[in-house]
Amino acid sequence: MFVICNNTYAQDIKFGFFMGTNLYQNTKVDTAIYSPTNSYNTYIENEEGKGIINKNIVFNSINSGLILNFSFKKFTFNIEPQYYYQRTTFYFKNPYPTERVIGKRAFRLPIYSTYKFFKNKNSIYGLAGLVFNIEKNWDFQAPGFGYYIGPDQLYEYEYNFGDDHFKGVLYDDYNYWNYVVGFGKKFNRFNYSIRYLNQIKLTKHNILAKTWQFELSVNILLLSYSDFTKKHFLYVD
Amino acid sequence: MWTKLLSILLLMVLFLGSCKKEPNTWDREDNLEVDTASFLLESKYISHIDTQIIFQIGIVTLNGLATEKNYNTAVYYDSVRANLNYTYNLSNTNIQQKLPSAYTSVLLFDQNGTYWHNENYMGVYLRRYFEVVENSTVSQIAIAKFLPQNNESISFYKENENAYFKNSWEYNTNKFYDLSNDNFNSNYISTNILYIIDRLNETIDSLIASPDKNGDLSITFFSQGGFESFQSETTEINSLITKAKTNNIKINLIGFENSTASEFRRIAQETGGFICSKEINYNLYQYINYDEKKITAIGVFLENLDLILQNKLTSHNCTIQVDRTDGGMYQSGERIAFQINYDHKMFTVQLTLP
Repeated sequence: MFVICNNTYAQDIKFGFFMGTNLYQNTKVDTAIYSPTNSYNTYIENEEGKGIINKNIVFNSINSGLILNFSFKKFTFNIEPQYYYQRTTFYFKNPYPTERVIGKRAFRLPIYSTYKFFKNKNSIYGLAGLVFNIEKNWDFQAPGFGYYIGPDQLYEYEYNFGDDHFKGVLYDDYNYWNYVVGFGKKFNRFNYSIRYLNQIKLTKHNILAKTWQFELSVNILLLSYSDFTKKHFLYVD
Repeated sequence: MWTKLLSILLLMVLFLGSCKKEPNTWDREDNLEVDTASFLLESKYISHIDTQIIFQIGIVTLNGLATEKNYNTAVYYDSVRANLNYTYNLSNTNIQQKLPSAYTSVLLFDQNGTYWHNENYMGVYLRRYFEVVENSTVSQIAIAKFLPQNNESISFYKENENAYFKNSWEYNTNKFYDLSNDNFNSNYISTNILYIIDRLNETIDSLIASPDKNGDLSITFFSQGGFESFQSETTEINSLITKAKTNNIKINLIGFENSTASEFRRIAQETGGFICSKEINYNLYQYINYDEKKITAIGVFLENLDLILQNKLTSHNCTIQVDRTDGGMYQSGERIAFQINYDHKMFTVQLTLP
């Protein structure tokens, strides 16, 4: 890519920083009853036909990292190695009220292209690509916000059902890919984009949950390859 | 500027990383809170003459996930509640390791009452039990239920047609929650004891007809108890007991929080079944307060249900001679009840004199 960019017309390589968060995430596990094999507790859907998990949540993650941007005319090609952190509290009412904190920290590698719809350099653009994920998960029973600010005491009895109940349901040990599509726009020096991510099966990663999310991403490109290669002239009157 | 940006990034990564909890390997037995509880395993008539009866009683105490072995601190007291015209002589107190055996049991659930949801984590214990049974070569169970509100006959949960005892643990767990949910959504009604006896008769008929049965046969009846009785059901109860004994079927009772000396408990004792019930403080004559216990007595029994049904138990036995001094005489066919003080807990022995 470096070679291509440096031997073609109107190309540049830029380097910058990236930050983002989940604007909205939906997780659905469409089964009426689930018995984890590493616990004697069994989860039952709160409402008939709704599945044991149907969680809508906003701003439950943060991610940050670097961005490498290769541009050519109205196209760009981007690689964003990043650290991703997500923490979600799931509430279960049946058969016993419990709250579980399930989270992940991941190395993510979005690889995507953008295309500017108009000639203006700050015009809106579309993006599409893939996101590679290597993640570590944690899954334990703990009081979440509902316990502290809800009207009722959640736990009638103190009873710990154990860790890692949702392995194979919400997460597993395999690396995986998402596909990403979205659009963005540049304001001042910042690129803002809204991205839709969903699962794509390319590896052995195989979980019961269906998860999709909208992410808000902001990046700033600080350093350009042309900064080093541009000839600078001094004009003296 | 670069230094600031990198510092902020580094601090953020460190902060976020510190919020997590590392996944631990979780031993499933760790999520079972355990405690101790005692139940009446058996009572046996030995002999009687005019003013004297001799019988034997066997109590089992469960500690955690095992039966008590030595009973060092447990004592049978020679006292009796509310009847000073009797004298009690205790003899031959001994510890007996029972002979384990394979078993086939129908778990019969009376869906009336709020018993299921009040009994903390019953589903956890039963799920564990269903898994234990599936992995066992000597234990087999079927699940049957009835809802008195609908005047129902019994119905079996069967994963495969006509195979009462071949359900997977997942299926049984699923169905248990279905039936406890039905129960939760229905109001408690007063149930006549004759209706319950009919359901037990149906269950016995199904068990007799089943080709898959082996080992000790039993019906393990889960109910809140407290059935409506007009004290005129002796014929029906005796007929049920005879039918069960003829077919070597024991009737075990689990729950029964509202009965301490009912005719219904006699069914268990006279068919050789056990009674796992709430524990009663002998001196206070009230249910033992479980506030300081980790789990209730019913919870302890359910955790150990496979041990109990397999008879992998060590019981604390005592032979008790009762002499009455009120001038009365015992008659053949008479039904009697004694409230035994064992370790300050009350267990009621009911016998029909031959």
